[in-house]
Amino acid sequence: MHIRGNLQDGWNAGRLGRLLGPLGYGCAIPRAVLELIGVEYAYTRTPALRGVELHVDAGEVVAVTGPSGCGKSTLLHVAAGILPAQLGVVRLLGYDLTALSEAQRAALRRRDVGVVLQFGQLVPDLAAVENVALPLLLDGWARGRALRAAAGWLDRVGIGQERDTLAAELSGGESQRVAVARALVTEPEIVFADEPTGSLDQAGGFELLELLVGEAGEGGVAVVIVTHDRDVAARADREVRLLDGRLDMARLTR
Amino acid sequence: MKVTTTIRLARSAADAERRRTAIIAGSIALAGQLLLFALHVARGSSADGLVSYVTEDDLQLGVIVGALLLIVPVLALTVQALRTASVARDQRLAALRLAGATPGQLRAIAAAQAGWAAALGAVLAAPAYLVFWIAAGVLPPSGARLVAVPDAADVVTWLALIPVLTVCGTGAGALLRERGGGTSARPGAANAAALIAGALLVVVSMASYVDSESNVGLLIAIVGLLVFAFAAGPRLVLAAARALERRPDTESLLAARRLRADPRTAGRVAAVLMVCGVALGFQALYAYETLNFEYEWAAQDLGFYVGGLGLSVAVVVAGAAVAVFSLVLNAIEHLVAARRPLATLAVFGLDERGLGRVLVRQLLATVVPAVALGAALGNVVLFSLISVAIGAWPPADELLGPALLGLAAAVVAALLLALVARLAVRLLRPLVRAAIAPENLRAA
Repeated sequence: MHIRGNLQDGWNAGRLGRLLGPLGYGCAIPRAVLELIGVEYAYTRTPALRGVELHVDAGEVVAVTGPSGCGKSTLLHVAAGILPAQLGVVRLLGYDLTALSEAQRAALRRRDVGVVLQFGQLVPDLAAVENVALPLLLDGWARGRALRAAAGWLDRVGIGQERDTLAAELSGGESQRVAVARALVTEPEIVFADEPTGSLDQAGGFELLELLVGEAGEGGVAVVIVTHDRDVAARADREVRLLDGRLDMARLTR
Repeated sequence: MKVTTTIRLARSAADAERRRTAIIAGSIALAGQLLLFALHVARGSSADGLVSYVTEDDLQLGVIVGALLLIVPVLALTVQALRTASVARDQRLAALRLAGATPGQLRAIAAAQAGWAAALGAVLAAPAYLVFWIAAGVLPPSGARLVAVPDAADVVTWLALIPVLTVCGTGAGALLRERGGGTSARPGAANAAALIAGALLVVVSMASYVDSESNVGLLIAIVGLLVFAFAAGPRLVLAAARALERRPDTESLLAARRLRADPRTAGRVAAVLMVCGVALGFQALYAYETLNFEYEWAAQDLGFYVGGLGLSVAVVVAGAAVAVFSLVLNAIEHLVAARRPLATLAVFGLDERGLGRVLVRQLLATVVPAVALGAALGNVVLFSLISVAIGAWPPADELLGPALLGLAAAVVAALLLALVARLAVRLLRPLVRAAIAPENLRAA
């Protein structure tokens, strides 16, 4: 299929970029992994995003902050291609999402994008390792190979001993670690995290954030974090603030 | 808390709660109507125009047992309906708890909700019985009618049933609230004991029934079969789930894990379908014997036997239909309750069709093995019964015909149920679409 081939090319380009990065190639010209140009989205009659412009480079950690109801989660969902932009352009890993079908957007998300949501959103009937393997299984990987890769990631996020525990029986912190492993198991180029620490206490939240940003940083993965937590935002390279669906402010935090 | 306050708080305007009330009331009305019919037949009737099954002493028992057996899937449906709308109800009860309601008060509110639906159903049993009377007691030609004109005794029975059904419904509502919606417990020692006891009851009572003039042995065998089927149901579902799990595709894995997470709900349906399968196995042999051209039936006799067969097949089909509806209701409940994890699956590319395939595999893994096993058991039990009766295993040439007919009936039934499952999932498509909608990712 044509689009499948295109997606595969994009995937390879990303891998190549990551390979050449440490050698000095491509470091001078940061590659944009996400571009939002004049993006608008409205729920029935309520506008959630009004002409949002955003640019995220490879390996960059960006925090999207703002008060409740300002459109942070909508921004993340539109940027990840979960919701289609109603106006404007969303370019993710070089692909214009507005030109892709839902199935093509899903394929892109599955292979090159990680997603972490507030409550983990794990499938409760599946074991931790199966939840992590899910994007790989849905992408057609053989079950044994996918589970081995997932188990490796569970070890990396520190809960290898819980691999066979049902998601429904995991604690909030463990669920979020599984969600982080699931987001990174495909070795994506960008991870979107929607209030990833929102259901955790301060210490647990900070630990999870370090895990997510640390693991992503090791692989040169860009991270877009939606948060209302000032401490979480401070851990990002850059903070953008939304107010009533508009980009209100952008500043470097580090 | 005053009774009026309890009733006021029990009433909910939510669509899900209204649907739940309607299904509980409908199933209780159906159970009440079947009870009214069974009790009417048990009282005996000599009215003109009725079919001999309900007028002759020897045959009445079969009709009564058929009606009572049909109540079993209806009650399973009631239990399933009581478990539905759990998300909306839990949110409502949580809000009441925050407002200061005690556990006892919450239990009273849950009981009042179920009690109101049960009372409504009990009252509706009479109109349901009248509709049944028109369909089976007025419209058929004279001589083929099943239901006599309702009389004063029916009214008295109905009035007596109203409080009984209401109390049962109220108790079940309170009990299920107490135990919660989870049914994940694996079959344990009690289940194994029930399985063995049920099988022994069937074998012993059927063996003694062959030499007996009384029908008591047959009734005990039916009770034994029900005990066996309801104990075997969850085990059969778990076995089907394990077989599904071994398939390489992700949809099968998801379907298998859903079944393993709640084997009892699907197990109840599997039990009913297993009993339907056993009946199918019996009916296949009965049909083979009746339609065997070696016999020279008079037209009237043939009509009697074929009519009886048709009636028993109708009971089996109705039972299976109620059971499958109950299973679909469970699937709907899951789609509503698990919309957040389902939406997450959509993020990773499991689309509406993929989720539809998960549901179809789930339904098929429950219904097909149950019917197949039931039909096989029906044939084996009946052949064993015949061998006990004649003192030897029937010759091979006499076994082949009924066995093939039984197999054909089981295959046709399994295919029909598979078709129904696919159709049900197609009808559920809007709910499937709603379950994987991205906005669910934000649901609390």
